[in-house]
Amino acid sequence: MSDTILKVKNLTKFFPIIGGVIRHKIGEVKALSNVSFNLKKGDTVGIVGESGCGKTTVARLILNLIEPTGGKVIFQGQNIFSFSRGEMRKIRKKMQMVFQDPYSAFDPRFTVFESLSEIFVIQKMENVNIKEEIFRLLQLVGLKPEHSDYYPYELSGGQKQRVVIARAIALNPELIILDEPTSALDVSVQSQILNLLQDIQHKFDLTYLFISHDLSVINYFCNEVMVMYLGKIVERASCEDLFQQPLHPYTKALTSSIFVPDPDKRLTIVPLEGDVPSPINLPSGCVFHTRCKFSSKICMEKEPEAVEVMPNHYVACHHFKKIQEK
Amino acid sequence: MSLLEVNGLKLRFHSLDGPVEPLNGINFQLEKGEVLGLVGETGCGKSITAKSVIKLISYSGGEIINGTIIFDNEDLLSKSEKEMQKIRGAKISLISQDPMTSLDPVYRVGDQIIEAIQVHKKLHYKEAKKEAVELIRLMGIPLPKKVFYQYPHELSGGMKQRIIIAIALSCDPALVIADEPTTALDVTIQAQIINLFTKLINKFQSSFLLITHDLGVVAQMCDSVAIMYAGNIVEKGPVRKIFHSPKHPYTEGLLQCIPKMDKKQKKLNAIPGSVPHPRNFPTGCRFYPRCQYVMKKCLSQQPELIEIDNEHFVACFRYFKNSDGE
Repeated sequence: MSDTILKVKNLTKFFPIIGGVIRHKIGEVKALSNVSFNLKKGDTVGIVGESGCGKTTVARLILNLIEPTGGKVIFQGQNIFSFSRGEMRKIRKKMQMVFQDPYSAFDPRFTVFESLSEIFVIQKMENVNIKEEIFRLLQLVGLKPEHSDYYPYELSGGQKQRVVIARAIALNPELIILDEPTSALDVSVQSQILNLLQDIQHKFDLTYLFISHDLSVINYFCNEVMVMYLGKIVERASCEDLFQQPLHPYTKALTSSIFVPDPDKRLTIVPLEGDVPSPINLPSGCVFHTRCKFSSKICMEKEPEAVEVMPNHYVACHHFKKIQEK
Repeated sequence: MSLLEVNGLKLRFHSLDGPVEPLNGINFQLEKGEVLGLVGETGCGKSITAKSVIKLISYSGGEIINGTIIFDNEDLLSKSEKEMQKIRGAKISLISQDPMTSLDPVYRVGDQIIEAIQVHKKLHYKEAKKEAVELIRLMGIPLPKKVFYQYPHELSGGMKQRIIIAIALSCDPALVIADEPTTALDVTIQAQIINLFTKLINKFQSSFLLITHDLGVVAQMCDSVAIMYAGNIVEKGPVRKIFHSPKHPYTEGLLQCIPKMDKKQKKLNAIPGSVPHPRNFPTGCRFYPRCQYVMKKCLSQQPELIEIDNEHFVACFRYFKNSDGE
């Protein structure tokens, strides 16, 4: 398949817990287990889940920023984990990331110009007219050339995030991973940034992997969603299918915990009791069974596999049929 | 007679670059048993308004330079620090934004609840403990006796927030101020906490001042809403009127910025520009640089809050009937 840009296969990451008197491994945080998915060129796929479910770990693994415990990430036909540092630097031109917190994304002692020009120095692109290129980038993200002389503290949160986006698109990447790009911003600025990201995507034919905990933003921005719970993908479908007909009980709970800004649509029931279990001692079988109201004996014993229930709608639950009929 | 009346509140902060006055004469009332939402974006002055009400603003370096705060027929501004200490926690209590840092890490959570009880009520440890366990149970925490002896680090974010709510409600206060009580929590936990609030409001008959930027939460639990922008209340009224027929251009824009869940939108509405810094608020109406309906008058004069409908107030020249105001 030529239009698949990114393949993630059985990606697993366990973080060791070091402790005890002789500083040995005393346990593992199972951040991610057996996550597989494909991204097609031009797609916008969202990853949604609560804190600690492994969303950011997926992003960091795809960019090879941390070592995986197992699995493969195949970007444009090559397994990136087999690359040396030099090769990785070349491939990083093609995959960029926008981090959550624009406030800590810059060196406070660098001006915007200095921060942006670093990219071209690191990538050894001597034949680029750096000044012109930076002005062009700033214009693309809705800033003025004057802003290049600003220090980060002189910019507002929204402006900083625009510079972060400028930095991400500087090298004409193909894939951009957006890790909660708007959660540190106010709503009025959030919509500006989301619109900007969409414009840029159309202009440069980009593929986005959009990580967020905000379902209404995901629904607006993405065409496909993956729902994660405790390091596993529990459901994957197009936005319309997932929000209109959620099949996994966790997705169902998530979609019904959204507070719609309409006082006539108040929630009366709590969709989900209890807390997310610790990823150090994962529940046996289906990881969700401790909070699930459909839970039965099989859920405690056997881990459900992802089934394609409808075309392009995958769910990992033993009881999806029961839920579908309801 | 209202429970709380704030009139013409103005603050001053001293900084190295000279004094800043972030509030421009805030007026609002809170009736007994009412849940009022104070909504606005970062830097609009909502949190400092809340801190002023319990006179904690001097600890953040602020000074109340104008206005009156009448609580339960008493003028809080004329009270000494000693008298205020008797009111804080007993009659007015504060729930802060971050449950992770609000509890003392070296004390058991039970003892922290008991501390709050014993400061205001003359109770022996045993009686206070009984009350504390009962409060923990009331917060919907399973095994309250066990949780009583636990330390904050042993509890999840949602549990910690429940303990903080228990401390806030321990002395049956007439007014509870909650500053972004669910912002740090995940969606499913947020739903649990908001649900708990709704139950407790009915049980304790306290008044609530809810400070938030999340319009979904406001729609879920408030009776009335005040929208703040750049140190002014720009619109206030019953929750249904504000959400169904917003009148101020800022309220209108804010509601349109939120992606809708029930339909897929092509483009999100965005308010251009960003929130001004208190040091350089525009003259005239502070919203005019971002307003689509801006008139000549807005550039030089500040609109006052006027009543356009039963209990629905707006500060915008579009609703003034003639040039002298109504």
